[in-house]
Amino acid sequence: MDFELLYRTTYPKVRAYARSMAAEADADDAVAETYMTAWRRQADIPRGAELGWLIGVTRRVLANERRSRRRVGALRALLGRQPPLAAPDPASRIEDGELRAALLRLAPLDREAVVLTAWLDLSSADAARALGITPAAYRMRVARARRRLRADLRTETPLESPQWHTS
Amino acid sequence: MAYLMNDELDRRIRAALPPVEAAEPDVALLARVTARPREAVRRRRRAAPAAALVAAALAAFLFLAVRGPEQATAIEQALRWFDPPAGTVLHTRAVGTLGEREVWVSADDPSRMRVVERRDGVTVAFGVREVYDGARDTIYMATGEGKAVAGVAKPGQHDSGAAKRPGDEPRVTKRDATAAGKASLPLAAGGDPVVSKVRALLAEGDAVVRGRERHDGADAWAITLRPGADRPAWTLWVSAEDGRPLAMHDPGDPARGKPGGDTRWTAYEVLGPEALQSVREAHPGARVVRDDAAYLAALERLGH
Repeated sequence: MDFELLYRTTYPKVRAYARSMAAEADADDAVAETYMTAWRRQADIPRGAELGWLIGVTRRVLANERRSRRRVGALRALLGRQPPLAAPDPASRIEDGELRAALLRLAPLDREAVVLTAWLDLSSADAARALGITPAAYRMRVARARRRLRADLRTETPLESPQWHTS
Repeated sequence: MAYLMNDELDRRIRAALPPVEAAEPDVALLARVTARPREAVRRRRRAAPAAALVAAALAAFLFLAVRGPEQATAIEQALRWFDPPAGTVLHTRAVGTLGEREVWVSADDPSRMRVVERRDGVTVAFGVREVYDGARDTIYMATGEGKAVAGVAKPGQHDSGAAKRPGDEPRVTKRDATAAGKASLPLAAGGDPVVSKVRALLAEGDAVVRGRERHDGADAWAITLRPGADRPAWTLWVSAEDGRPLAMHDPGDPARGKPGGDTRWTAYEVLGPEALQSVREAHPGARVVRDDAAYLAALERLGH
């Protein structure tokens, strides 16, 4: 494997994923940790899904950082019980309030699947690998998520709201 | 009412992407990464028995460790402790801001680990899709097979159908059970987060040796961030004798909402692969509940 080629071709999206999920310092740390892991475990990187594998590692590193920080918060008893957090939640970084609310109504993995697709334009193989699921499960989750989001985010246009005039 | 088409939906989601400025691949990071030894690759190419490989790796590691670091090599020595050889298990026990936490993690695969936390006299342990609740002497295991609970767990009723137990039971709704049954389960942890963070910071080349100090009665090197690095200066103390990590102070970054913390390692050692037990192996007499919803509820109850 040409590691330098792998690095140069995947770095932009790995970095974009990390920066879209976490603060800059944490994101950059996660990217460094990801490529250190990739360097050690080159034989484990699957052909044809290298980007998905790398994003999967980044996802786990960021999740670990969040888990560590959340335990600190719980011990300090500042916020009381907190909901379980898995991977970094893309919805937490979205400013579009209506969209964020709709995404939060999805199952966490469905949410990640549909956002990863839109934000990073990953192939099914890469996205499935990043999320640790099969490509078929990934396509099912994206389809289900889109169906539910479409139902939640209905648009109204003047043509859809006819005004009945009576005399 | 009109429904969004997929294209419109994707455009809206894409428009919500947090702004990330484009950047060329970090050449300095690539150089630091590829300068690291590739123990895992060399190990896989050998045909020698696994036990001999582990023994050789440990022997080489200990030889380097007992020489003692000079100031110029203190960081490299520390990094070896944070990045142990392939085929080994890193065992750490730490006390501090996070309470008392003991970790066994595979050097080859950080997702293979066992974490033991002791809080208020109760032991809680986490492994790969399994969690042990010491207060109930019960291991909850995720099946990932889409099995929901049989019915809905009501307060006071244990979700495995076993005899009632005292204490508050989490109320698991049918929606939660269905969601759990879809195998949307928390990730396996990726190694000790403190160790991972320090390894990343050391590897990025932003650390310097501040000097030799006495720390908690031990002769130590103090390693801290290079001046000018864009983050608060944390401090890592490692033994001046063999580079073994002793303690770390992270001031955090209140402006970015990052809490700080102190960690003191009471144990830090590199062991053979047999040292990594599963949660079940470590608690052979515990009751076992194989149920995704109960597993998720246990994680939430135990604050994981």
